[in-house]
Amino acid sequence: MQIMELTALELGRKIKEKEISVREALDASYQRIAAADGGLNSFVTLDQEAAYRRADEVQAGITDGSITGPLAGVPAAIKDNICTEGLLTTCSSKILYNFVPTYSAEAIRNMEKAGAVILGKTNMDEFAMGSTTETSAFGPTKNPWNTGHVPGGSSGGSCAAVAAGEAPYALGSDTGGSIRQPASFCGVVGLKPTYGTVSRYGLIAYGSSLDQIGPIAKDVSDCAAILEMIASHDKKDSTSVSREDYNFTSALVDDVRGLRVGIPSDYLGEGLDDEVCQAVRSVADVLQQKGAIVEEFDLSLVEYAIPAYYVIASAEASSNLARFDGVKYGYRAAEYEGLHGMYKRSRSEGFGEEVKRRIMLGSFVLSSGYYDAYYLKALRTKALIKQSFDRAFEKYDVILAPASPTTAPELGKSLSDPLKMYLGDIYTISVNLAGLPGISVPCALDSKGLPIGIQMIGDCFKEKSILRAAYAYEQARGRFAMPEIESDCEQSDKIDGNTEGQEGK
Amino acid sequence: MAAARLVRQIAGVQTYGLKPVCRKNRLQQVCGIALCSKMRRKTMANIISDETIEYVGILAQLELSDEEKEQAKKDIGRMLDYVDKLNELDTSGVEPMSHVFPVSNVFREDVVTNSDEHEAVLKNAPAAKDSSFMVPKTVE
Repeated sequence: MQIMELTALELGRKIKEKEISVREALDASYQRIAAADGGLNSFVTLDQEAAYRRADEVQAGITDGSITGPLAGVPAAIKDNICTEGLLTTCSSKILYNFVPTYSAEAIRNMEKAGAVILGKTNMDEFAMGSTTETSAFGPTKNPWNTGHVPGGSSGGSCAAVAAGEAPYALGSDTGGSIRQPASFCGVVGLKPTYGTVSRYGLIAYGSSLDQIGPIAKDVSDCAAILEMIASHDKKDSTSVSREDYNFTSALVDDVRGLRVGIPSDYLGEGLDDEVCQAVRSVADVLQQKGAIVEEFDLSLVEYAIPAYYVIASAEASSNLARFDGVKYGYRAAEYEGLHGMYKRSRSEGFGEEVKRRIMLGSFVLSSGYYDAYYLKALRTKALIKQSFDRAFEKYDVILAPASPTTAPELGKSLSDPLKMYLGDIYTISVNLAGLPGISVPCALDSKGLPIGIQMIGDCFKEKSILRAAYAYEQARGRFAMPEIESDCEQSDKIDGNTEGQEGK
Repeated sequence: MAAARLVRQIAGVQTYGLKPVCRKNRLQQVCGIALCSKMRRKTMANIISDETIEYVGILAQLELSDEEKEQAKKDIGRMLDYVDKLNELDTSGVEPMSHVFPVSNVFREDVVTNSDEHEAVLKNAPAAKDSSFMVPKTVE
């Protein structure tokens, strides 16, 4: 088997057993990236020099026994809204085209303690606002299964990189489905932890009450191991929760006897693609055959989740993105009149359309006179949605659902109708509103050859339930295929250092 | 209600779908800026006025071209039409929930624990002078 076909844990084992060196693992990734990324555009920044230096450090630590974690030496790709010290971090936006953080996110620090090697930063929807990775200022990422289709978003680059064998695993972030939806479009596993599980320190904020960093990998075991590595209680994030139990890998047991699985019947109605619906039912069948108790139920309030989410997320985004004003970092306009002129011009020239749209909507719903009618109303709706999940989790351990109403749409078809694009988030969004953990697992390919992923949702702090259910399903399904990658003959121009971001203006 | 709407249309006043409960200030109504917090929402097309978009531009610190303003009016209007759906939901007696878990402030002792990091702080500055960020004059 080729190195790039191994899961992260398999690769970690081979590195530990000295079958493969850390350098060789890195070589495999960079070779694949050189061959494929001209076509896919998963990466914004690669820094091979720094990565190889780090690889040597980690190799020394593995050899002398000081670094022993299961993912030590395994290369990883990081979504470009997660701060990495000394490595360009752009949020795929022009306004941060030259921003090199002077500190790393807590999740990254945890990874480094565990011997991770960072390959590079992946492409995303600008400031995580989007569902297709097409709002990126650096061009869209293509779906490795069919480059005429989107990889999903906003963690499209991370998911494409894992699916294409460019990276053994990646980190993404999820505010309204941004890990789970692209994972389902790209045929990989994506996990959003319970809110507060992974520190948001160093994650460039979009919707602070909704954001979570999470793993993207080829299988459930990898995601469990990565989550164990990055989750921690962090005083620097005041919403960070101190979990009693970080032993997520202990949930990887192929036993779902007696597990109560609920499928919301309001999710299976109009608007859901037939093949996706079939996939959900097939997963239900597998779980049932393994002894789980599966039934449909009414979740209710489904149609109110999207409007509530867009009000809350836009409102929080308008506040979080106010800091980008050309003063302390990032893009400053060349010509302007006065201080406020500088703010306005820098922001208007630096931000893309979708970002501006959401900032405006957010500013509007928070403004005097509308605050009650929109923002507080949305927060009350959020409370009701949480209550409906609480009721559901009294009866069920796991909620089984689609991840997205369709498989990956074609490139260029989504941005002309933003509202329609927002409606595609229907199955993922309420999970963020309620702070629940959710995992997306690939199930099958549709008749067009595109991956279908299903979603498992757990109660707060119950990652172990969904990991167990997902693992059991995966054992029955067997290994999921990887797409055929067309090699580019030309060298990608991103291989040497931070060229992409530094030049771009 | 329909009569009131008709009257506003005849009077040439741009509406944004609100039915003012307190007729405080005609100017506020005309400018499309609702400063009264007791506005009750009606489910009808949200027509965003020029003044509202100007106001939003100020709040968002964005300058928009005329085309962008027109597009923004349409986009925000459409999104608000969709968001109006929330009015179907009876949320009386429900507390607005910002965070899913109880959160409390994380306090610490007022003791300096970090070293002098001003070089790092200025590292990404578009313009810096001495140990400060350089910006256009703020005070005449």
